[in-house]
Amino acid sequence: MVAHQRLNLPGQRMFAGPALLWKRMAALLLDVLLLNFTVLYPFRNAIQRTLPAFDSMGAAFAYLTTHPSMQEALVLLTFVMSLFVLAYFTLMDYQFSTTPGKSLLRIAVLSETKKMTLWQSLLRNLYVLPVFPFFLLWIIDPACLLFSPHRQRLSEMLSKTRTVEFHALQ
Amino acid sequence: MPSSKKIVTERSPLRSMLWIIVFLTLGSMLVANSFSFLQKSELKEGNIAVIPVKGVILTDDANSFSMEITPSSEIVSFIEDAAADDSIRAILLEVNSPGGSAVAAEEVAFAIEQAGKPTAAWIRDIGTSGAYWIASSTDHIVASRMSIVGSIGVTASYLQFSGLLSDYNISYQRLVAGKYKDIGSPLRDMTREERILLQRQLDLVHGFFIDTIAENRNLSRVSVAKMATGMFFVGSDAHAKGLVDELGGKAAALAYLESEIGMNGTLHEYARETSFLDLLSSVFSGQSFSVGQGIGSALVDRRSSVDVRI
Repeated sequence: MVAHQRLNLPGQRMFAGPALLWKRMAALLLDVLLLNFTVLYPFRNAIQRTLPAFDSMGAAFAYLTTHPSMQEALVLLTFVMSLFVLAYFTLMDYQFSTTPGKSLLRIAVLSETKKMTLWQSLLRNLYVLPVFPFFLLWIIDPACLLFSPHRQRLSEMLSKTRTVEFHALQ
Repeated sequence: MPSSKKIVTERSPLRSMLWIIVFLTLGSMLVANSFSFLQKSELKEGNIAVIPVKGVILTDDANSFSMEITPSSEIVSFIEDAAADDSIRAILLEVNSPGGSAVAAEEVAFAIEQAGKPTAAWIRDIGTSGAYWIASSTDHIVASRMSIVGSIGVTASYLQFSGLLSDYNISYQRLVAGKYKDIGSPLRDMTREERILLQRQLDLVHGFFIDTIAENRNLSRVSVAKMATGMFFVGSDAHAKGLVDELGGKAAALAYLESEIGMNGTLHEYARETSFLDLLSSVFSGQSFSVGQGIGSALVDRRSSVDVRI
């Protein structure tokens, strides 16, 4: 926001429009990649140290079905990992109105109210939690995104936020 | 004079973003490490049970001065535990035994057959007689080329003290209801008729032994009967005769089981739990008992003096 205001030079007017879908997807992919090499890396190591190497997905499935304690541990681990991912998106959106991925694609998050609050940021990113009912958003959110007038996900509608990109008008 | 403007320099958001990422990464390292600790202490379980079959295998936990004795009930309980444990995918028997009681061997073999999981036997120095019966009930036998294997035979030999007793002017007063009640008593000579009867029983057990090995090893009864002279074979010879599937060691046995379960094997070692009190007991009470039992059993007539061992 601040950066865009700085660029709002005389003779140049900025307006925020819905971010293009491919930019949003690319931004998410970049953020996931970044998370994979930083925040999620220690968890990946922990899992690799614990689980035996499997020859196939079938073997992994068979192992997990016969190891209930390991299953429970993995579920717990996945939940903890998702909390870190939630913290990443929430803090980034709240503090900077963008994430590293979004900023590379020059898109940002705006609040429909005065200033983005932490709760708004948290609410718009709850979809990363792989627990009921939040994982339902994995289907509902993209569907809403395609059909809503402002290209908003359901989480964005509920949190009164939008993902936008700025266009300069001469 | 130009008016001075206060220039406000904003903190770079990139640097702040970096701090958040570093903070979260450190936090995740901390949490992931504590998770690893939990795994090592509580979750890390082997998927291949290693069950020892060592010493003489008997049905009861007899004490002995000179030899290691393992009760079949202990081995069976290990096998049953491994079979019931979902985290155990396969069972490896670590065999180092000269055999033991025929019934004890059959009990263990039955437990293996009931386990319903891939099994293998790894014969170390010796896997003969009852121990070989047990090994043959597994899916795969691995032995060193120098291991002692086989000895498919039955023995019920015992010491006979009647001459010694008569030297000391001690007589045996026979009081039985039932003609053969004291058959095999070490305190008197065996009659020809009794010897034939006992030999017949031994031949029966020998026949069961041969049948079982032939069935377990998928060999013809005739070929097993030819080998069932009680003679042992070194591993390489046993392999050539079809008594052993593979020459090798623990790694070969594990490789077989890993191929059966389709994943890397981690070991879950079963062992008799020995507490400090057990150790004290074995040192003082156990050995004292053994001495007493050894002397006593040499002097007192045992009810079932014929001990069939394979």
